[in-house]
Amino acid sequence: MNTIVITNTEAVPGFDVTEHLGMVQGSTVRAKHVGRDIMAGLKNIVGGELRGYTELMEDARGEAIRRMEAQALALGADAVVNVRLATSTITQGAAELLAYGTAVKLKAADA
Amino acid sequence: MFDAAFWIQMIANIGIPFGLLLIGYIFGRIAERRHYARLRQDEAALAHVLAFTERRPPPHARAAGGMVIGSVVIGQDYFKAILAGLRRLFGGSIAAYETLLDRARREAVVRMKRSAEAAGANMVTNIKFSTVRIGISIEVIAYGTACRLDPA
Repeated sequence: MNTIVITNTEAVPGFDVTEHLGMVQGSTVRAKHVGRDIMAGLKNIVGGELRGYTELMEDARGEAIRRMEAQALALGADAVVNVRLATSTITQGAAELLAYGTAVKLKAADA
Repeated sequence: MFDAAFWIQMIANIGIPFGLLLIGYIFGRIAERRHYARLRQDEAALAHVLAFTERRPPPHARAAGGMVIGSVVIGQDYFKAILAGLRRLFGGSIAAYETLLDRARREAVVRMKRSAEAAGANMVTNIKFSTVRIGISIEVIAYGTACRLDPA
């Protein structure tokens, strides 16, 4: 496998875990900018989805996962299993996005 | 006594909150009804992508797409936010937020299924939900592992 597999299950279907490389994690702290904040303020009057925020959080989550991936690659892992995502608001207007999981080496299972 | 400045004050103090309530009520209702209609449509269109909270994929499933995530940040309308504020005085269930979270969660599942389908999967296993408050809005995410199971 040349790309790393990210999964939140304990195993990857069709593969056996051969080596356990420890926990890897990636995180990022993002703040929203004022323009989006004003838009959000308006959206909180009429209700509905705040697309700007959804995109911001998606972006940030992608970044956190990429950082976790980078750690796993540095360890020579084939996959990160049992991945969990967590988000917390750490201060007014900023959120931390965290992705963590276990880096493992894989071998194709004998069918 | 009741000069222009007084009336401007009055309009600002009473008119604006009342106006916001009215706007929130009307647009909030429309937005919610539309969202539910769209959700029913999307859910029917994605019904063939199966969703499981089962931790392990079935034995013959193949990995397809790895982890898939669906997320949505949603805001309450002003009318229901105020209503919920009043409800908090007496306690009990706040229906206004129950429907908001219901919509958000279903939307997150729809998006998760959509990205699973785009990756060539027909099921998502080990689905987890997480809900976080962001300022005065709420983010709901659904994530799981996409796989494919072909009929034998």
